[in-house]
Amino acid sequence: MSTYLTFRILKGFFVVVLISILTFVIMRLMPGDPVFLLLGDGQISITQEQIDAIRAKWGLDRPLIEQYFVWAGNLLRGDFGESLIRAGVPVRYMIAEAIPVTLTLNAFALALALVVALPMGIAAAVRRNSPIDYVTNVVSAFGIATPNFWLALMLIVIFALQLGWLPPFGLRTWQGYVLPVLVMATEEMAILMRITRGAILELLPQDFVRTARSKGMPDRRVLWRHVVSNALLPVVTVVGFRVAFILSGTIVVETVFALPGIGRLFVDSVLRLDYQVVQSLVVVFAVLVVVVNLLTDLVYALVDPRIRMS
Amino acid sequence: MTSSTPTTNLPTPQGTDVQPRRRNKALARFLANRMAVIGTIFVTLLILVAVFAPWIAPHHPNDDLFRGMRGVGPSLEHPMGFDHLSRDLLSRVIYGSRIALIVGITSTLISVVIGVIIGAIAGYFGGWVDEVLSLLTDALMAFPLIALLIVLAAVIGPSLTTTVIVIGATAWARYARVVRAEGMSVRERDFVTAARAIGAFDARIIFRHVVPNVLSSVIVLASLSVGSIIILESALSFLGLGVRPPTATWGGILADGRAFILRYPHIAVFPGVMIVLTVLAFNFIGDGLRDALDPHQKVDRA
Repeated sequence: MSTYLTFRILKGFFVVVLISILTFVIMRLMPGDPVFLLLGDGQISITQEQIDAIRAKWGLDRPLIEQYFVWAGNLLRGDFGESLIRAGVPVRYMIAEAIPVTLTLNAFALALALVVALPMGIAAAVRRNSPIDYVTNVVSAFGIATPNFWLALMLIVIFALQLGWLPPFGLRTWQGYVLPVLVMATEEMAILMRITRGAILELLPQDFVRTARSKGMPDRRVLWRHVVSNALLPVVTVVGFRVAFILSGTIVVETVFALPGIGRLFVDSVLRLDYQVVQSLVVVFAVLVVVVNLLTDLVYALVDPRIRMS
Repeated sequence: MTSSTPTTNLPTPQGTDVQPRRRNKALARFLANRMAVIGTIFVTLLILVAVFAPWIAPHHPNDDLFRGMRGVGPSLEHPMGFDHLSRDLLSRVIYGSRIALIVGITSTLISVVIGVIIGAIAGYFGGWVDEVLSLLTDALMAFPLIALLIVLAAVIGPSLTTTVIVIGATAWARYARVVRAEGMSVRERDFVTAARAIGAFDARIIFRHVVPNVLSSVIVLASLSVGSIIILESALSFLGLGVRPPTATWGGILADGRAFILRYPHIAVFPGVMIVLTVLAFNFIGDGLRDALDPHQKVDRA
């Protein structure tokens, strides 16, 4: 178990390092000299000395490898540098400011998705080929095929424009969360339904289920005690492994609804060429994904002794 | 990938004469799947529409401006209405199918080629090569693809070529995983030792024995990923980092729709409907292919 754990942590660490190196290289390929980005347009004339001074201040005059290590070292100490566009604002603050919005959004979306998808998936599997199974299949097929940003636009048209119940953009009141949460939940719901249904269908014909039934256990108890509890494991794992996708969803959905979260900060920073923010966020994403995947694996290993052994 | 009978030179019971029957069975199973057939018909029609767009579209997607029709809703002559620049939306949506299909299919092909090569090399050679390539694959799998695409598109400069290459170059991890597993299992088998002993090149063994064995899994994965790539492309265009305006793309029209959502809400409706239908169609085809090809394979290999 401890070797497994060490191995996994090492591997996760390497993935983060790899992504940080790639990001660093990619960001240096961005068009435009960072010095002019720092100065902004409309600057009159600056001397070569001034340029050199700025380069020295930001460490841009050193070799790339050294720059990377300085940057990575700062990251490890929690120093993300300062935004190039919002001059003087530490990137750390910008990220810390945005995280609560994203976290709230995702927590509610995931909770909603689970609350709807688990019962639907279970019901669909138990009553196979019934109307409820049919509805579940149709809903999940459409949920997977519908781009979240289009769903967002349509919900804005219906609930903000036609009915006037909810605000179309922004977070001035808590109602601003309703539509984004719905959109993000739809995508996850579609996938979780499918997985729950599949997991249960796989368990139903197994021997231990038949044994429990033949012992005279009522169907309902067989379902809850033996089938659902076993099916939950793959579902939880999938939730863990979908962090990357959930983050992708946040990026687009926050942009559509103009929510001040991590995703919108990311898109805005890319469009404004604020690469100090972009590269920090990419590393934050990578760490987040690696940590959640690791936790998922651990939960799995703790719950399922078969994995702990191997 | 052009070999028509992938397993002919394997010394196994699945000899040459069994092949056509097996293929026909798979085809019959595919044709029995109603949704898969509907998906195939839809995609065929869409391809025809895309190819013959100049003849089918009633107006030019960019140049035909209708005076005084800015943002006017659907009517009989203009079933999808006009956009904020008074262009005919039906024509723009028709032309948009070209971009969706080009990106969806070419990016998928690129990612399949990259994934198969990387997976085969990692699985077949093993050792540190495998360690490095698997780490890369894991990193790609773990990372939110859209974030990577956004950064890359911004760095390279958004265009059709950028979109195709960037998506193709980042979406290969799934294929690499599948092919790697097959490479590992093939490496251990006797006929590979035999082939090596008579002096066959590694590349030859990979293309003769590893690739054909994973072909059907790869085809299924690929057909299922066309849809998600179309969504990725439209998301990029929607964010202004995909194919540049004024080129008509579904994502681009949706971006216009977002900008004018409070004034001209109809703009955003139809391109979205087209994306949903197209992605559904490709997913149905993928499901159909999986059901037709995969279970059979498992039975045959057992």
